[in-house]
Amino acid sequence: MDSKVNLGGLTRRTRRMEFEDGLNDMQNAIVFALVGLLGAFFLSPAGIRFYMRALLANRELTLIALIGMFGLFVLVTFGARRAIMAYRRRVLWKDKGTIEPLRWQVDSRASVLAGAVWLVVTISGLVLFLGDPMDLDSGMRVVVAAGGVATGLIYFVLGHTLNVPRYRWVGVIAGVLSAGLIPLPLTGAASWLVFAAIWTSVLLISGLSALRRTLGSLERSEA
Amino acid sequence: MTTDYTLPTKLDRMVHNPSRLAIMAVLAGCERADFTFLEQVTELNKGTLSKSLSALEEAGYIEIKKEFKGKMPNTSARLTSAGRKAFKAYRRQYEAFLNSVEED
Repeated sequence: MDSKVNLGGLTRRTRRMEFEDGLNDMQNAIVFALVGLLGAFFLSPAGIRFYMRALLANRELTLIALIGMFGLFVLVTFGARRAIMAYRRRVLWKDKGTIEPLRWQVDSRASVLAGAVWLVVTISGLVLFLGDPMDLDSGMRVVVAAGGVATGLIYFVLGHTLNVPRYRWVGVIAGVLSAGLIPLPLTGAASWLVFAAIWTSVLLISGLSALRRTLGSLERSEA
Repeated sequence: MTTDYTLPTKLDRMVHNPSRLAIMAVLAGCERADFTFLEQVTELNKGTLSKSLSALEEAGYIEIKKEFKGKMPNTSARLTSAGRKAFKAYRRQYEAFLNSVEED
């Protein structure tokens, strides 16, 4: 070993390992798709009608359905994570050695900054675009778009601190597209769907391109 | 700002050793890493890595887990909270010393 130790470099390289193969991006794409579909359903007239009727007619069943939906969401999220780790251990990290990634990769300063950005975009969006205080669709659009901008910022900071250039692009592209939702004439449910479509497709493209690169280099090293 | 030239002598000797420092730097970036990963990233040979891991374990800075994955033995390590604190403190002290030297 070289007697010079690049402390930051070693820590960064280790933290970066779970993002190199793109599987995390694909898992997050699934999460965004689920969040979008669930959000759109809860906000759509059909969803509201369904739950109002179910609540009035049978509260227990509604509660079970809600817990079931939440459970499915958790199961898909954690199930995908376990499947990804198993695939990494058996295939992608077979020769590299294995790590258990940090539970929370975003540092607290970036999280606080993203929270502040969400607040600022929400408040300024509501002030600029909400003519009628009863216009719930515009309000929901601003809240959703602000969430997209804040998430974009988190990806950008992660890409910058860990030196993962594609995350800078993910953050900028998906963040800007999310902000573009604010002036569009969309209902609350539709804005959730478009938000989810933006993030799902950007993360899928990012994840697939990284996975292709990883599998390519794995094939080359095995050849 | 004046330079405190005694600062390097106050550094934690357990962390200050290059091999142990490299191991701690890697473990600071994850919850747990196995022996193969540590060996590849730190570029230490097996003997030095084993010795350094044992020293860090004795100091209470890491926890070592030995298990079987299928039929293969697998050794992995993680930083304890004392280890994480010691690593952070070491970085802070070292950076403070370097900054004070540069400003002089």
